[in-house]
Amino acid sequence: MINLSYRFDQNSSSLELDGMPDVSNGDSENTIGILSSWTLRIIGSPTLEGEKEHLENLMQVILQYSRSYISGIRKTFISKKSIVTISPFGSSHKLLLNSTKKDVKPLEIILDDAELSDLTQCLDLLRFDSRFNLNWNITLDRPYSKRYIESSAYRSKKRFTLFYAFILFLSTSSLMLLIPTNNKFDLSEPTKSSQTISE
Amino acid sequence: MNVKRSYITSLLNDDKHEFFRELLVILSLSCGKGGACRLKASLYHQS
Repeated sequence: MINLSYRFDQNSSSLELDGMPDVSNGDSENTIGILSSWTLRIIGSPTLEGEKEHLENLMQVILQYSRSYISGIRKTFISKKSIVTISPFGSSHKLLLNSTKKDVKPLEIILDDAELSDLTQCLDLLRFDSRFNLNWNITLDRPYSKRYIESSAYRSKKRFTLFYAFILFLSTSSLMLLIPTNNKFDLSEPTKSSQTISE
Repeated sequence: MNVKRSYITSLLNDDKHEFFRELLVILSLSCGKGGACRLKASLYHQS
């Protein structure tokens, strides 16, 4: 039985995959058709490993997140069965991994922009490598509609618009209160001197 | 893109250059075959 192992290194990320050719599918000796295990090492984070399904979920989420980032949309992406979640975390990105094993706490990894880029590059190298004959259930990069882009960008701004409007209202109202007003109305009759002039 | 260059590092670390920082991140995510597909998809609008 031929055991193959390939590794993709990209600065802070290293992805290693082990498997064997699927002879029934006509794979060559150097092609991995059956993935047995994978290991992902990100600098400063625990080593991640799992099965094909987990890697597929990770790829789906990371690639979708990167795709939306290019369009200026920063939002949370959750994989099937909520195994992998990625969300904006200030200027960084929070990767939350839920284990399928019992009694294993979720793992939280904070990635900066460079680490996100390195991880995306690693997954891209795997996706387009001809030495792998695996079916990845990943949605292709699709254009977004204008309405979707505007609504995604509008939501982030709308949150603060109401707050600013309220602050402006309070400050304007307090300024208006400082303006002195004359509340005394003079109801007295006109004086006699004014009557003599008219005659 | 050489991230070891001091100018590039200052753009990535300095909060005042947010526009350049975002531009750098987008450029880094647009590298390679996968990046080209992402960039191409982002340049089109779905009708």
